[in-house]
Amino acid sequence: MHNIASQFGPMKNYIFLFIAIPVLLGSCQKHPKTEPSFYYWKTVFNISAGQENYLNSLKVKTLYLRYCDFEWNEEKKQPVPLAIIKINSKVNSDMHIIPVYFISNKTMEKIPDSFLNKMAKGIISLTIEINQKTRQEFPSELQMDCDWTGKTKQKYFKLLYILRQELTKHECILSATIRLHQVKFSGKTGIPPVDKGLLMFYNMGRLQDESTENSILDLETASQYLDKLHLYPLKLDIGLPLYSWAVVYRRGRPVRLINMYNENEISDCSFFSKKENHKFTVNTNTYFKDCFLYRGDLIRFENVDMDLLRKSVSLIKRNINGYPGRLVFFHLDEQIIEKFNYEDIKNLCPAFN
Amino acid sequence: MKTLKISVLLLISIFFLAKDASEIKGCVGEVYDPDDMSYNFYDQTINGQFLFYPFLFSFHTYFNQYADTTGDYNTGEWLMEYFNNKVPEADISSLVYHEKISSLILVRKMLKGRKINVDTIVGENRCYKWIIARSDTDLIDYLIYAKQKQPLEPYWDWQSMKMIKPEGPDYNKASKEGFYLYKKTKSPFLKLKYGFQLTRMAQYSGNYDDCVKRYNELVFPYKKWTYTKFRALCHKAGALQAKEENVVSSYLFSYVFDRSPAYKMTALAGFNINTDEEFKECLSLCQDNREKTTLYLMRGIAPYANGLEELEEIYKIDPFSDQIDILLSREIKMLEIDFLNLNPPDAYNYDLTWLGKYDVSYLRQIRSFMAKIIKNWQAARKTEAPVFWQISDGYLALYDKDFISSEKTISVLRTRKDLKKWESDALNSMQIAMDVTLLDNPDRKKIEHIFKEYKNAGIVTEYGENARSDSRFRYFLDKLANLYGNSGDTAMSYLCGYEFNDLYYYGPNSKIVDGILAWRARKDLNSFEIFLLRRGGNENQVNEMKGTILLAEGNPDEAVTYFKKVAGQSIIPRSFYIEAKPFDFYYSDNVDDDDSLYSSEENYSKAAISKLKYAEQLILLKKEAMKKGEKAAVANYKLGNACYNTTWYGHAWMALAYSRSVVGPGPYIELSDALKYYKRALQLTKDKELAAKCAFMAAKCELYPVLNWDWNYKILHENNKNVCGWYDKLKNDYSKTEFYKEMISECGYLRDYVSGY
Repeated sequence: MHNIASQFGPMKNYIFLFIAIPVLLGSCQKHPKTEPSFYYWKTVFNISAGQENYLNSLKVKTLYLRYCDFEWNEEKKQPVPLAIIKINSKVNSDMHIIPVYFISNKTMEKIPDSFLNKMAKGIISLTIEINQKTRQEFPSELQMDCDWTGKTKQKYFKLLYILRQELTKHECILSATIRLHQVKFSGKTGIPPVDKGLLMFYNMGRLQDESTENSILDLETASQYLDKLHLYPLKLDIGLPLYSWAVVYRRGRPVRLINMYNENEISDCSFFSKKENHKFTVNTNTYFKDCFLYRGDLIRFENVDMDLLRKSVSLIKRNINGYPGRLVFFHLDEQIIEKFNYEDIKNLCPAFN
Repeated sequence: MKTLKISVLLLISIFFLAKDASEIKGCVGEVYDPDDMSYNFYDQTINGQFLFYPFLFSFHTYFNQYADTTGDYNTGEWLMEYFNNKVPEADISSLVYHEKISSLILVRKMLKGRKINVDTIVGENRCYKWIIARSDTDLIDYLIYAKQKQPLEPYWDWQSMKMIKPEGPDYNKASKEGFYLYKKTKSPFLKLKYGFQLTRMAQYSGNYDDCVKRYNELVFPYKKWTYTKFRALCHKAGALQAKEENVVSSYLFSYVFDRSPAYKMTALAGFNINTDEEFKECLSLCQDNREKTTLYLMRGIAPYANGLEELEEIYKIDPFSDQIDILLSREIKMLEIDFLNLNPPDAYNYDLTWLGKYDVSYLRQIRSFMAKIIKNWQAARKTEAPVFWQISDGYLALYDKDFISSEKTISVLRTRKDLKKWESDALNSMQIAMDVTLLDNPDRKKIEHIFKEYKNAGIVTEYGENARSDSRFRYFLDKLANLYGNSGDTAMSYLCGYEFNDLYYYGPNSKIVDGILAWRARKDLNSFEIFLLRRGGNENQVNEMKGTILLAEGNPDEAVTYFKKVAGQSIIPRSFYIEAKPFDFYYSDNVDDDDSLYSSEENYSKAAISKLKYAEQLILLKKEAMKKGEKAAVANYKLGNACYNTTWYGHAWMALAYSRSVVGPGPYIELSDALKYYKRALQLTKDKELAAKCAFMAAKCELYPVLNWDWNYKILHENNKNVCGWYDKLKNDYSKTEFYKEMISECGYLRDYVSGY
């Protein structure tokens, strides 16, 4: 129904009325509130008391849990599930867990068409197996994460199509992660056949470029990719980043990402000297956080703060058609959430409500 | 034999926790895959150290792209160490990897005197014959033990759709049995094998002290450094790492890395030095210079390491170390990628800044290093430097734009008669890289000369279908794309980067199509131009696209000329047909449901009209439309329909476009011509049914360009007087027509407007 021209056709009348009435009443009708949610992106699900409190304070009802990655196994000539989630914490029965399956684009390139049926069924079986162990029911939503391109679109969409059909039997909807470039160039990359999407609003800046200030959230870049967001025919949830890292450049080339929570870890170390805002040069060859750095390397610390998150929400709000059902933060981690007051996170959601 | 490599895998995962930036996928821009885009002239494998090939520079810098290929080493070891080179390796492989435990038990029973016919088991396998001739129950015992106690890797089974987790052996029981059999056998090799099994078992079960002890007592005494001994050493190193004895563990892994042909990948993954102090301690454990230089080598082959720093360290310790060659070839490859980095045509949509910058100062540092080692070699050995170094030096000169030195290297080396094939190939590639680099305009003679060089070097064939698959030839094409583009030859520039069929995707382009037609008409084409024009589609495709471009420009008369060239041909492109009725009125505009989007090859032309027929009818209708009377009114109405239907909104969109956007209108959305024809038809006709249709379609033409996607038609109606005017006209003048009655029930917009909704 994303063709406006269809409104003129016979038999479309009833559909038209169904759409028309809510639109007309839209201004006075309340939509469900945008909820906060989190990704849990580790291989072992182990929620600490602190994390649980944090989730409770935010009234988080949904967690997106990475169940496994699918990678191509050259020896077996088939995709294999890797790093399957090990669940060590009790899953709160009030919490909806949305399994997320990551499949690399390279894997998608190699999977034969004939395997897609099996793959879809395998994803469902794996979900059942993991959920049985944790005594969870079949989820109400399942998410696929793949940075598909024009080259893999056809196969990936076919997989989604089959999976969605299978999931219907379990009364489960299918969502897929959507990158910003897939919104801007949707004519080329296509619209995935899913019930809804999750727009990953991060990793958007030019990591490659030394002069980039923040590749995690770069609103100027983002705004260039959002001009067609209101036209995007899928209902979208929004993924927002909470993480930080340091990017290491060597002779102008980004060579390493170092997981870091605080810039002081660099600024307090004598091996580095501050060049400009958030940028440091390495004075002497040294090991730092498991990486060997060479003198002359440039390190840029990238961080996300509440101000940037608020501006992101405001930018998305100006461009999105409707409202996101969820704001999903990437990701739930003890040290990450220490940096963000739950009240502040909570206050981001009402921007859409 | 799929053995569980828990600890090793664990170590690998630790190793890769610090992510390499090239693996991080951004959410904007297509991920740039440099392996697809870089140009590879310099062949790193000419350093001849094949065991280190996985560690040569690649943009796929994760070495876990490769796996240690251990199987051959294992069977080779059995062959040399146990079977005295007397049985085929395939038979060993069959016995060790594939034989069932139950079969082995039967053979054992037979050897112990039971009357059992084992002919079907033994078959033609020479290993069995060896075993039977020697009544070798020790070997059978070992194989049974190894197979029974082998820890199996959990795996996902796509058949049962279940994770299969085979049960592991009981550690104490299996250890006891293993020790018993170790003592029982007299074969030193089987003792080594039992020692390995017991060492591995201890590591996997978390008994790290046992693991170290068992290695030291049961494995280490074996005199030779064989595959199994290195393998067991990896387990000991893994156990030490689990005990947080990082330095010793890393030292042992470096030992394996340098000496074991089979476990280099595993050893590199296990090498886990994290601080300056640890590195110093590890150096202090080294017994000789080779062990020290190995540590620098391992650090230097980390993704995007600063190789020069590590090269200098190795050189200080051992100026003749062959490990220099490995690191040096990696650095030269990286410099090549930076140097040859071109800017291919924009539409690749790849972000080429991912490539490093052409850093001439670093290049010169590497060049100086190269000169230093060559000079040192000549001074010390009084012989010419190795060919590998000379070729590498020539390539460095090329990247430094010192073409004279590069040329000199080529000519000097070409006089040698002892060059190996790959060394000659490397020189040919260097020559071609230099010639392409020096090409600064699309000089036809020079281009033809270089093309012949490519053909002579066997890089491309006259009829090469996949011309862009070899990166060396891709370098030529990309360079030419720029040169042709700069000289204004859009068509040839395009064909260097793309094929004609890509135009269906990117949209037809008049300059390209005209350019291809013009080049095709030339009589003096050289072999490269013929080669390139083969990428320019067949004649029918080009003529069809030219006709379509003319149609879209509103020039059906000229379009007919090109379409006629297509119509008579035996193979006609599908795009020559319009799978709709362009002159008809459609009740439904739901184009997404059209069969044309999904129709099969054999059915597509049945319901379709050719573009030639369409253009001819357009011409006739245009003539008729200029007249007066009812016939002219109908002609105008049909022309209005044609203009409407061939836009993005209509069913005949494929008359002008090759693909239809699914998100928002495009590419053809202009409805003013359609509106003009409907208005004229309305003026001319006295037929109220026709007039009602014209007014309704005119309303559509006014409505669509301003209709917003938020469905807020109420606001629209309030603000768009033209649409309201047409609806008022329909309501006031044509409410008694059949068409009006039909549409009032079919069209929600009209009905709502009329009912004052």
